Amino acid sequence: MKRLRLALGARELSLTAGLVLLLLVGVVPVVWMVVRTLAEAGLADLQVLVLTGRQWHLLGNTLRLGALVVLGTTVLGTPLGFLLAKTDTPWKGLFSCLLMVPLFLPPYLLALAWFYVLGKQGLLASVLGTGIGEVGSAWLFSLSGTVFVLTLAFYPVTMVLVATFVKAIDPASEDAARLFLPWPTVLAKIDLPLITPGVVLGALFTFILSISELGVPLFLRYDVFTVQVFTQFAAFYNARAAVLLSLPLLLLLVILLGVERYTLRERFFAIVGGRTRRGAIVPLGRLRPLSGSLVGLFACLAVLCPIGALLLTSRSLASYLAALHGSGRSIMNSLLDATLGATVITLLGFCLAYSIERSGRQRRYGLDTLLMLLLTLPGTVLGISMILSWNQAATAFLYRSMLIIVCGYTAKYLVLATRIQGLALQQVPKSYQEAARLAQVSWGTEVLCIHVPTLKKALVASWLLAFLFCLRDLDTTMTIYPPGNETLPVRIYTLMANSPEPVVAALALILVLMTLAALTVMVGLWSSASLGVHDGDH
Amino acid sequence: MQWSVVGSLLAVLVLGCLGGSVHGAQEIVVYTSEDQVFSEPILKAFEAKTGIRVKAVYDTEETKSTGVVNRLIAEQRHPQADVFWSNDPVRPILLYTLGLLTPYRSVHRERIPQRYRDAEGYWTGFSARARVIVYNRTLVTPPSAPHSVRDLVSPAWHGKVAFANPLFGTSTIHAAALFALWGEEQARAFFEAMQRNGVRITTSNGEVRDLVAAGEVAWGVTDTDDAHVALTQHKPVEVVYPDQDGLGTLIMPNMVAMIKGGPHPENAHKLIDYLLSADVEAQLAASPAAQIPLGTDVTTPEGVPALASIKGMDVDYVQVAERLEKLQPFLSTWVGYR
Repeated sequence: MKRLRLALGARELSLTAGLVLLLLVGVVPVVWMVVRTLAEAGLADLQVLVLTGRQWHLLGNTLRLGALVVLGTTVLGTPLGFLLAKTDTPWKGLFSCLLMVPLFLPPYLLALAWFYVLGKQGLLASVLGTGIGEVGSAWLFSLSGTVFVLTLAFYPVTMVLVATFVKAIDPASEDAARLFLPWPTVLAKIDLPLITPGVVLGALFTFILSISELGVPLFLRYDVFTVQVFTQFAAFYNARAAVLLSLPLLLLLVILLGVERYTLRERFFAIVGGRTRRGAIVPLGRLRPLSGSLVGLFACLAVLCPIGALLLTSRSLASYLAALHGSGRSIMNSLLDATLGATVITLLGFCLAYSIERSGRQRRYGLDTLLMLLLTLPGTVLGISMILSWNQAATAFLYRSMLIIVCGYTAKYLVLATRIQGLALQQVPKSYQEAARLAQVSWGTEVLCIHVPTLKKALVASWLLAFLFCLRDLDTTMTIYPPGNETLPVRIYTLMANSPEPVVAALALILVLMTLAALTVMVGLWSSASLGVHDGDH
Repeated sequence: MQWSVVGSLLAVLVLGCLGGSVHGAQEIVVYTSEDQVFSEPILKAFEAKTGIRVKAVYDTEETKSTGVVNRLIAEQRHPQADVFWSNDPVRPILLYTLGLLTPYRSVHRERIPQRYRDAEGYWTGFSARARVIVYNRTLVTPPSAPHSVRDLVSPAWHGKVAFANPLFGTSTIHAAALFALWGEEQARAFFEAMQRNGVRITTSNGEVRDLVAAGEVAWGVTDTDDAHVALTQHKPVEVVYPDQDGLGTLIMPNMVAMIKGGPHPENAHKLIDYLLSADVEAQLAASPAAQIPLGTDVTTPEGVPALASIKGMDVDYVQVAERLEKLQPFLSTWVGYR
């Protein structure tokens, strides 16, 4: 009995520690910043919240950008997800991996690559003449260009969700329909309604990601809320106005997450957490080469073109040597920060996922919404909150070290690990845990002997996913990185001012290669099973 | 066993990350708004010369010289930086007014002309840029070339000139300097006339240069380092130091200041001494930044004018800084941000 109490005590202690850590690194700084700002704000400060003509303009631009990106990602991501998950499109394994790449690159890197293609002195202008460069540059530095870059950055979200929903379709319902109907009708009447929630969820996520994105609209000079928040901070030294200005954006994000939470999240957990089914593959017949060609062409445009632009702009080996000169420390910092960040996120993610999955639905959704909000919060705002909270005498050791970056990563990307491990935990029979409790094994033994073996792929997948997102982070890191500890994305961004283009392109390509290496490992692990639970559980 | 391995690895990682948190005696923390491509080699040379490790935070192009200033303000209760190396002469004064600086009289301060340094030693200038006119020589002949910023409002140039957004960077300082020199009424009238004259507002001085080089506008106002890039790339442009027979060209030196309560005051003195040395001014003059040395003991390379050969605008940088703050609402409206 005493051992059982000890086991429960250790379990509760671990889970409580996880929650406390989340509160400390993410929730408390943001809440404190907002409360402090509102408390200190005078009437004049609060005027920034009044929807003046300028505010309407920003709101209009922000919503327009989000809506157009959603349109683009839905139009591209839905057929791609469907073709790759449901049809016999040739090379679909390769295409599935290749088409995922943009999601793991910093969006501003894509903007930079497209600038090298379409800019006034870009690759296109050097081949087709300066007139094309003028037109391309004018187009890129506009709403159309911003939508174009963000669409190519975020279409994998919709593609993956659609593919996941397609794979979750019960083959029995298709088989029954196939007895009486041809494939096109089955797809339209059976499959399309079943994947619609995936499309809507993809649209919602890409909308949220688009309106909270800073790097691309800032680079391409499209005026949206995130840029204005950043401008208040950068041009007017007015952190209070920046925080107040971010409130409408925060409100918008809360509303969107509320929509997701009440309409789609249960469906998401049910579908994505369920078993992957081996449904029938639609034979494309004579259309197969066309399908392969179209997907291949798109992969060239979305992935190979920007990477090729970086390669061509870097020009020579000398650029890489110049890029690497003095960048070794930044590369090491990036790897170290991302490694520790991914490890903390995975461990904390396990504690929280366990806590969520073994507790009530309300607690699950409440915590999940909180974590999603931290993910979608503009990095600058999160960074300011962390400076105000952690730059204290008692916590100076943390603020001056790279651990402050790890805290930022943890706050921002924890939701990735909790969702993946939460989904995997749903597939572990509760009887395992009950048996462990009856056997009065310790919490550590239970984790080591039951959860780690059953969740090992989910743990590795969430670690790699967190690693990739930490590796690409710019907004938060740029605001809080300790002196002398710049990461590679930050170095690329600061060197962009007046550095030779070939050197910047070479550095960007080094970051791409680091990302591709990690992505290759992830795809290798991920492709072998459904989300993370070892085979033969059920 | 497995737990101990995981635990050990984590401990190593955490210790690795904490490694930089303890302030060592042989290091210094510098925040700089000078472009990393220009400032990093100078700081590396200081490291090599003194053995003091430099930990730097650099600004980005997008924050237009203000990101690190914001960070210094946000950190004021517990300063992390020892030295602020500003690429303009106004932001250090803003920090001074907020009480974030402490004075230091460098051994090299006497080689800097008096107008470019604070008498009490709160800030000291070195290596300057200037606000110049750059024109496209295929569109403008030398006799008809503009020679004054007042030409921005000349009907002859309607819709043919460019000026960078005065909310950011050196354009802000230029606007504030004109307000300080001319007074509120005359300067407002000038900016309103600029609007009426169809002056194209760009996001950066680099873009002004590019528009001129591409022939999209006939001329524009930019900084010497941006103009120098066009010249070294053999673009069809010429540079004019404006108002040499009138109010003079605005000279904008780098400035170095010591942060009050910074963790390494002794090393801060060493770095400030180093930055104010003739060696550093010579390096910055020879770099692609082509900055103008303030000390008369530096021989300027080809393409970089001596300070004595330029008639500088007679402005008090403290007044410019004061104007800058008051100007923001007007400029925000002027640009269309409100």
